[in-house]
Amino acid sequence: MNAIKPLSQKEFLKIRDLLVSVCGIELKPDQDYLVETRLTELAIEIGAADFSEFHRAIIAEPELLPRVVDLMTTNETLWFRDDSCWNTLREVLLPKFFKQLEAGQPKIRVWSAASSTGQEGYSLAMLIQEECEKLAVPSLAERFEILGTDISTAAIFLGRAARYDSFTISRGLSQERRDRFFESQGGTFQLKQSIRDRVEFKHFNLMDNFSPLGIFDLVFCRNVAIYFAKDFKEQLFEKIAKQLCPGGIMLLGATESLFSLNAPFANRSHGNGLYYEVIKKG
Amino acid sequence: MKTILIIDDSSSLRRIVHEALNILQFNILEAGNAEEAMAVLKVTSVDLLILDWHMPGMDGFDLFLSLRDNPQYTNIPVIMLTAEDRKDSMLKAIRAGIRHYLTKPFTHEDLLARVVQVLKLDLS
Repeated sequence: MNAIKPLSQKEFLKIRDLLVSVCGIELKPDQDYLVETRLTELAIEIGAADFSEFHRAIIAEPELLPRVVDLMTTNETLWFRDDSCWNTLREVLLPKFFKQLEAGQPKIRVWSAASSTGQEGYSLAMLIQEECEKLAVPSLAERFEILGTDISTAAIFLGRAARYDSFTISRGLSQERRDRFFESQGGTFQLKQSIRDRVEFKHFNLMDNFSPLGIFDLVFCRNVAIYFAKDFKEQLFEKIAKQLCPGGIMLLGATESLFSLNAPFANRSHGNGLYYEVIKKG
Repeated sequence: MKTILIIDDSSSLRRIVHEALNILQFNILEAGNAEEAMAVLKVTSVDLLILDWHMPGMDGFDLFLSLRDNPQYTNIPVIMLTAEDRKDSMLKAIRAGIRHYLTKPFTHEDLLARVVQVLKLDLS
């Protein structure tokens, strides 16, 4: 059996400081067990004899950081998560985007910034398809470009595969949509190719430079910043603002807000839902 | 194809985990207790165990310890998937050599991510 010395309080404080300063992940003083239970496997894999060596290894090899972040955070996602968000999309944002397309904008670019196993991006692709058909202009759906990114290589792989078990498929997805957009294959459910083709997945670390991703009309950043310290949240939202076109929109999770944060967005509301329009200077 | 043995006394939980793992197309076996698990391990080469803690008879942690101390099985990685969520228990398991510890309720995404990591699957 490979082994590593138990995490000492001193080591916990060093790793906690590193996680907050480099990754923005904030741990409470009593969460030392999370560091030990979630990072031991990685520490052993890289040959660290104790968490001091592991700490030094993370500093020396920044490419380990995405794996640390992946292990310290949770992959949790549902289909059409948070009704108010999807109502806002259907009733306010998609009609606005359809108008932009009809006015000659070549395409609408959307970024699902922590796409996990794909449910957010694919939910949007399904909703766009439904709304375009209601308007009798199905071709508009092809002019939406949806990018899903995640720090977890496994999540990206699963998102691209677009195959879900019966428990996962049932979380937030109606029977009607399941029947329409999925094919049942021996106990699993495969998303139809026409919807899969609408979403592209890329491995991406939110600590990196966003410029290569291009400019977006809409960014989903839901339940991502909950792990981050205030400074990191502000940096994240500032970076997202730079990637949004004028009038571009950011969506946060139902329990999140920009309250008390210095972020260049104006609050907008629709029903119970909040969304955030970027404020561009000059 | 990698072989995974799910050991849990709840047949419905075994079915849920089985379905989740099916997404990545493993050879999946099931055992309802430690005795059944040992019977499977005697005749089958297994790449990963997904193990519940609280089971009738020998509990999952004791089963893990007996496998860890047996040269024939010591290298089989184990992910503990359990309702046992006390910090002390988590630390005890990890310090004894359990590779990952997931508490119920769990997300299938997290389970698959940990399985991918432990089995070092190439997803590129």
